[in-house]
Amino acid sequence: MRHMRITISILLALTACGGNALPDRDLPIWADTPGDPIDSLDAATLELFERGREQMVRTFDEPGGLGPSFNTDSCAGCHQFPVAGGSGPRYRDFWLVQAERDDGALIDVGTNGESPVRNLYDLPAGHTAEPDNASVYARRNAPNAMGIGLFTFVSEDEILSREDEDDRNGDGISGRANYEQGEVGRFGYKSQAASLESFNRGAFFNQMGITTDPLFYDVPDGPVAALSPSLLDYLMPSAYAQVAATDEPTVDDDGVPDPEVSNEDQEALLVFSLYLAPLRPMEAGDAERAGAKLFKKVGCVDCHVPVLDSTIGKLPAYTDLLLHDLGSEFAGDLDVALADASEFRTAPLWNVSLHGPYLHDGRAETLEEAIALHGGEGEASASSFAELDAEGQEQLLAFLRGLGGWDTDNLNLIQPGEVVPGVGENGGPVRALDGAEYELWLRGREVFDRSARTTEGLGPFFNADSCRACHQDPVLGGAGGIDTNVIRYGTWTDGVFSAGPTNALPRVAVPGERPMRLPDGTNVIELRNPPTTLGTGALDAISDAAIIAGEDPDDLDGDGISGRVRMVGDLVGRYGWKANVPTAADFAADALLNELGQTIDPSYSTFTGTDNDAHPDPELSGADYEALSFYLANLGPPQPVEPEDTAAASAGEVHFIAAGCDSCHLPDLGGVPAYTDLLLHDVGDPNGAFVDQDPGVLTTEYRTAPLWGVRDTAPYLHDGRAPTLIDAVLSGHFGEASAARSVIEALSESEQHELEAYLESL
Amino acid sequence: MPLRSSAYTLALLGLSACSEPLRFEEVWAEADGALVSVWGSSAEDVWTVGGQIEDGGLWRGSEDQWEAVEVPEVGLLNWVHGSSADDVWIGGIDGALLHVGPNGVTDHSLGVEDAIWGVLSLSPTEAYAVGGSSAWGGASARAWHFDGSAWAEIVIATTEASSLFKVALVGDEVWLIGAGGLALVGRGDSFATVPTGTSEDLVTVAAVNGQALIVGGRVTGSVFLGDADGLDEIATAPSGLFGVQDLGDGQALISGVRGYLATVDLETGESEIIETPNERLLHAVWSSPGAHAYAVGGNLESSTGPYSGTLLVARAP
Repeated sequence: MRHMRITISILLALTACGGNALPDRDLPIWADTPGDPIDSLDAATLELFERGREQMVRTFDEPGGLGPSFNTDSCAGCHQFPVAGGSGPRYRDFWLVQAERDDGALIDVGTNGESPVRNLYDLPAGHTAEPDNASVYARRNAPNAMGIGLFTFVSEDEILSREDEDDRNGDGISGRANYEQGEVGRFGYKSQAASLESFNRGAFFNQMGITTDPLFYDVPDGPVAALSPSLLDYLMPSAYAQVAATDEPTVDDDGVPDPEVSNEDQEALLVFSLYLAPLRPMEAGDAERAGAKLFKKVGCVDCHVPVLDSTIGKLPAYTDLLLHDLGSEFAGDLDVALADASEFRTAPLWNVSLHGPYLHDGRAETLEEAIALHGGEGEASASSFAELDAEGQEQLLAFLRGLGGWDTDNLNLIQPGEVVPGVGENGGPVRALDGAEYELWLRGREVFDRSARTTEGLGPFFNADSCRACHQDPVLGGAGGIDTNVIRYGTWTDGVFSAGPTNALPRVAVPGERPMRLPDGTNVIELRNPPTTLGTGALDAISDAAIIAGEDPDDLDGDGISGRVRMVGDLVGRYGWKANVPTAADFAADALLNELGQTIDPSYSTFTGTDNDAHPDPELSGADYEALSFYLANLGPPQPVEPEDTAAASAGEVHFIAAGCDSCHLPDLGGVPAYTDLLLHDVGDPNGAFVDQDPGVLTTEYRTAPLWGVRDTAPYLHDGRAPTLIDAVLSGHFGEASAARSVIEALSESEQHELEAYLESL
Repeated sequence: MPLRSSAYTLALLGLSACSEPLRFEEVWAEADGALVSVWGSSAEDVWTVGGQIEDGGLWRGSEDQWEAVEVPEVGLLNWVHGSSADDVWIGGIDGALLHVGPNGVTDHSLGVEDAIWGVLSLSPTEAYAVGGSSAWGGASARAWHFDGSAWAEIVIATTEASSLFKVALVGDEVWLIGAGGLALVGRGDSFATVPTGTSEDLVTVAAVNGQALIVGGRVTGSVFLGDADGLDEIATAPSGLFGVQDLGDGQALISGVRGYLATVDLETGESEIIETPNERLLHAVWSSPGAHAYAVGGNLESSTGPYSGTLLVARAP
């Protein structure tokens, strides 16, 4: 009953702005700042909305119920542009997978039970095994969620009024509704979800392996029956139904009690997604007005209906929420409920500028491409658009861009006008840079942040579409979450390791390609979690001599610790989990090639190469690469923080030293307090299974991880297996680190907390 | 008999010719427990079962007159079917299996954790029960055969289906249907897989002119018609479907969630939605020539209860 009362209150919160006498273009629904709620929410609902935002960015880990299979560890992992709740960059694309049974039936073979969603990651296996018989791969790009929750307030009659399944009016347009359990669908690319709760719970379970309970069926006859008739009239029962999902609890077998998100937290997220506002359209100029007329003239409005009526006023969303056949080019998709493979919900066009890539699978880089790809019921309009002269096409595009979000950069997470961190701040430069240097550093920062397009050589297979994709915690340049782990793999046979054909298993492919599979026979997978790049420049500045001075490969001093230098040619390796890259510039070249599939001029680095995509090499300009290298070489270190509990942190430092952690995690290496010696140490679990892709390096050898800023870089260890710092000590320190681990293992729980307090202050 | 035949004909016309749409009214609004299944041995002797998770219930009667029948202590009862009023089988959760014979109700529960979702009684010496997992997932579809003296499990061909949901006689063969598009056809203890061509859950099956008429689906509904060589999807519905009954004359009655009731023209696939007085999940429908049409259900969206039921009747002319 308590949940029901909250829901009533959140719906009532809107009543002050209810009614249908609101002007077309001045509704209180618009936001001027991405991520804001619609206007007119009362204080209690606003508070709930903000709690919902916390849920949107909440990072789940294994103890918190993540997995066992997952694609991402937070809602904002996919919905991130330009703020939490926005659209998904291409590297977050995922696939729905089906296989054909002997009798021709297509069955879902995604890895979360009944779902077709293909999950990339698995706990603890690392990578979710690809079904052998998968035959249908339907790609999805996460859409912008701003304003989408407001479709809750559109009545079923409003949607059904535009159905013309048999095209009785002969206009070539024959939209029809999809349904979920008898309710008219409105959410999702196939209008497959009728309620926001259903959509959210589906994403929780299918993308993160997070289980939930249904919110609205905890009273005998459901909450609707418990409301007074007058209140029901006021709230519109159909709107209520569009919030609530009629479904079973979701459950999994990861050992964490279900549900893994409380109803209170789920409710807060529901409020956030319900009231997350669309961005205000721009004041139309001549071009936009002309474009609006052309939009109508070429027939776009037949499906992209400018305004839907709702119980909170008119919603200028430019959709009819119906399914339309987009033609044979889309026939490779899935049937979803009543939607055939080539049928898709008319995409809402408000805030269309926040997208990019476009269409359900991101196959279009630009709006022009997206229009041109309309077949089937949209073919006539696409042809009419193509027949417009250049001015007319630009006017129509200007009109579309003006539908909210036009001044938002959809390739960069950092938005125009955002304050750049200064020297001494996380993400700022390592030192004060003069004018030209600072401009170069800023350009490099922009290159680091920018999502590469397929037309810029991204792919054909890739893990990320930008440096930022894997290095953004807690600021641009930081570390990556567990959902950015790189999957290394290979085959051990009779003690001999065979590497696979690629450096790692790419998580994504360019549109048109299916995801790459692990080769048959692969029997070992080892993940690589992206470390922070903050402080790269400082590490670059450490002399080779300082690093070499610390090595003791034969343990001559008899302390059980025998670090050794990794030489890469004539240079000391200092980057990467295996110290396999010598300079920040090489590190950038290596990541561009292996993670983005982008090549640079080989004169810059031996760590680049060539690829076989359609874009000629080199794919990143020399100027951009130089700027990127400069940015990294001058990216300041993570800043220490004043511990909340100074006494505990001080005691923790004593434990750190007493255990001998500082033997490898040097507080000072050549004047740099990175808490590393940049040497290789044999610390891997002797019973673990590892890939062997670094000639001359033991599979159990790893570079001492720098500990500065470690508080912000969870999960820990090279494979991200450790959700906490103590977990990292206990589950990832063997061999040379066994003695230190034993000491820490013997500490009391409070002493271990003291050690954590110290580490978190670094 | 001549009079009875006339009544049959009139009733058949009244229920199936679609000169007038069926009009259902709720005659039992707040049954103490969900009403999950309905079957009649005659127009005047209709049975409905259901109850609460921990407390199965059986009621007999007709129209708006219903009386509870005492049953052994079992959980929710899922399905009822008989070859006559003196040979009725009832299945329920936790392997519950009851028989109602000339000497009253006897407990034949199978002692398994699986739910019995469907039963079929062809004679006192031939009956079937099907079931499986009470939760989603797992490959636990099971079936049992009664030969007049004991129940024995039927060995099912390899399947990954979580459950078999219903069983019915179609022509001379018994159909077992279930999750993921699973359908088996055979008799006794020998069954072969039907290439259904669908991965939708198949929930209830009825016989129509020697063919299997099957409803199912979860998010949305599907109506299939076919034989052992395969199924054709002849109609879809906006909600998952649970109940199906042949009305004769090429018409079928189907039911689903939120009070969904419709007649389907089996030749054209066109559906005509029937107005219902509430939005309860209608889990089963039944009628026969000369009898009223019944639809039963309740708040079965909840997996835990407590339940209350609804019973709708469309009176034969």
